[in-house]
Amino acid sequence: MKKSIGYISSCGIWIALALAPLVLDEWGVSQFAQYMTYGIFALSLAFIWGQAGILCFGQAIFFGLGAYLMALTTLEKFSWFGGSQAIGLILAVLGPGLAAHVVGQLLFRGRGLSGAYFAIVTLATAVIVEIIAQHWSYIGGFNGLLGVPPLVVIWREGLDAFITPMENYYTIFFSALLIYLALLGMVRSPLGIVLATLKDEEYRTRAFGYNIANLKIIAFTCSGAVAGIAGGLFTTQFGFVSPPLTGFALSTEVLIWVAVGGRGVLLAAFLGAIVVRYIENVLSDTLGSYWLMALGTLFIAAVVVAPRGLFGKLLQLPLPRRFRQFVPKKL
Amino acid sequence: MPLGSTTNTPLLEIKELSKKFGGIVVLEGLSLSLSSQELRCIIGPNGCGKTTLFNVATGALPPDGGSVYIKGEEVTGLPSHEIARRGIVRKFQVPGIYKDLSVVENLEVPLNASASRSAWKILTAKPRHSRMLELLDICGLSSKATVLAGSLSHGEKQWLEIAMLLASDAELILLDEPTAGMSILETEKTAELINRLRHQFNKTVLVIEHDMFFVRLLNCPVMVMMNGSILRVGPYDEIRKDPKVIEAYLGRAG
Repeated sequence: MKKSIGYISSCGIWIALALAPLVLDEWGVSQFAQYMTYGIFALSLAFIWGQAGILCFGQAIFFGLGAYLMALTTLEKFSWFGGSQAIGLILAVLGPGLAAHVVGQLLFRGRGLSGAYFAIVTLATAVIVEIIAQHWSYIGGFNGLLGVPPLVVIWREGLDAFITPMENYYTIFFSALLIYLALLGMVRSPLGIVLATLKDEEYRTRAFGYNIANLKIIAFTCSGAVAGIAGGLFTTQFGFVSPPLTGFALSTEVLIWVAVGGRGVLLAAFLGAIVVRYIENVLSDTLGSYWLMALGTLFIAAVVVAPRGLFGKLLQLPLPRRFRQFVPKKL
Repeated sequence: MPLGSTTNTPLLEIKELSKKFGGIVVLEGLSLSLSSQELRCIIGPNGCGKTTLFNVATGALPPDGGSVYIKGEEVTGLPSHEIARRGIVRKFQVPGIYKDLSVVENLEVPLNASASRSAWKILTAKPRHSRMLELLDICGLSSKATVLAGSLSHGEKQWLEIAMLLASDAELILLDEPTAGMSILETEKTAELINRLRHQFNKTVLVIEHDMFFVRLLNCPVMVMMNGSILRVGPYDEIRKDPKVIEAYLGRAG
């Protein structure tokens, strides 16, 4: 069978990312590692928004929480963990996952919030969380926490153990690939199909016996955990955490990346984050404060002209394999 | 097949059901009982409470009074997904299909409904190819299996939804105006499909319908609803001649 364009271009993008360090200098390598970290963050939102139609305006809550947990652990604020980065990363997955689970329980149970109401409540929550972070001195208040160490590798000792930009790049690359494949597996499974029905026709799915609230909570929990790991990886590369990482502005930015890339396709959203951050880096020097205007225009253009995003169509995968045999034979 | 098959417990039993929207009484002390593998039709003028009856019976709306039993178990007030799990599914008046998904994906959702208690079971549900082929054949969409459901014709959407109900393995199927907006040819095909549900798949079917031509094709007991309760029950030919029914419903249609 002929491979589809979506399949070929999806593979092409991962191969290009795997080979990118060959043509990038050291600075470029560390930049692209950061873009991919934002890409993981974008995946977490595309998973709930694109698949299940849950528009979360507070996705940075979970990103920021992951970043803070990683920073607090490695800076030995949680002294009983001895600054272990492994434990920090585990907490950066479990903490935000649990937080998302609790938020999901509160918002989806009973009649359940959806659509604009859900968006507004999550937006307000992000604002509240940011304000709390600003005023909580244990986690650094306004200034946040500085001096978060980069990741260390186990095969070197002492100061040499700190990860090199190249090693860091591939750590992020494989994390992103793994998370992508896990989410993709879910999206294309029977569970993913059921989640896709929650966008517009959840009444129909409920009338077949599915517990809609439970399904949304599960999706939201997974999304929170993925956003958290992105935050945890982020803070090891930037070396700091601060309240804006949990707040409204970053929550909006990730929405823009996902919308511009294409929310219906995971890899399109991932690529959206990389491309927008890359253009921002290139243009912000020349455009200065006009950058935000340009980004806003790009967002409007993407929503109005290309509702499936810049890459949604290109990267659209064919039906899952289990359905292939039902494709009518052409005579 | 004899009515009631092996047990005397009705598959669906509704006792003294009532429902008000503000001051408007929509269902008033409505009772009915449906045996296993029975086919029955409900007719009645617009606004007499037919769809509300379905909504209350399936838990989409809470009743103000009365009770609903499935196989002898009371389900009144349970959330609608819990009621669905006890073997009752419904067709919506406006086709309740997933318009952005392909036909096979539409069918997969109800096919996995028996796994709906656990997300892990849904995630790892095995594909059921032969069942899928059978369902595609039943709704006549084998050649459009991978087409988006939203792009199907109106009749095809209705048949797809009926096939989805069949896919769910529920015993009791409620159909809300399955032939609304259909041509005569499509209506005939739908009647044939509904008769298959009963005879080939042993389903119990309750149909809400406006179209008297279709009701006659179904050849089953007819219940006439009026102002929120049952006015009369009987075979089509008797109902048609009943002066009370003519006055209440048929007369207006000429």
